[in-house]
Amino acid sequence: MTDLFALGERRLDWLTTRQSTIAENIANANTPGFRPRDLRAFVDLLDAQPVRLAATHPSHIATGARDEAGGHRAGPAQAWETTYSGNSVALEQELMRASETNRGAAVATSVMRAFQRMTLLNLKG
Amino acid sequence: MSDPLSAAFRIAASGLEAQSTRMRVVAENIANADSTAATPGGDPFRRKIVSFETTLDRASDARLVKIRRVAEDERPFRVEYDPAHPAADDKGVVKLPNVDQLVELADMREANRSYQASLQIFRQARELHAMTIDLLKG
Repeated sequence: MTDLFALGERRLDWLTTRQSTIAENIANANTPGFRPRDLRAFVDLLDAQPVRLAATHPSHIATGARDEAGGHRAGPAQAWETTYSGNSVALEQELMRASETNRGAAVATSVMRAFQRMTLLNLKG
Repeated sequence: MSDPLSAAFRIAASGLEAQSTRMRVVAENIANADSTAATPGGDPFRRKIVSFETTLDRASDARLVKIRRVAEDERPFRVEYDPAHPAADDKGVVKLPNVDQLVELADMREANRSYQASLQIFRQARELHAMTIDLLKG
């Protein structure tokens, strides 16, 4: 049940990382040769749960314990246009992505809050 | 790994700084669009161009933008025949700056647009921050 908080946390982590990636793209909107990046979709991230090796001994190297944070750094985004300088950032597209991210965060935090209220209600009886 | 939101703030700030420097250089170009030389036959004001580059901020793994250099435009100067001008050479020709107002205005508009976009990202990152804090309020 309480897994929902973990899910919410991952979602927020993904959203904030995406926001900083979009910030990179926009800050470099006039840098020659710059290619914008985007993250892999959150759904793909959830589906692609990495297979982990079981650590049966304390000296085993931990694999993929916390690789999501770096793992969803993704490759180039599909761009609308490429200018003569080789830069392919479209400001409108990036701003759309940014507001999409913000809406996503609003939903995620609202759901988390509703869930917390529900938990509290159960506790109070 | 550092907090992606504070990285977003830093990146947006670097964008704002780069674009405002560009705006300053454009302002210099426009203000000096008619600045001729002080001595007869001398070179007038030369147009300046800002070029950007991407730098990696190792602390936050963020790709910031910074000004690589402010170069001078090597295009030839405009010339005008005006023997009465104090900067005219012995043939009566005056060299005028190689500033094209139209190009400067277009450049200014682009800087303005990019600045606004960075500002918008700053605002949205702040909203995201506020939403996360609001979770604590329950």
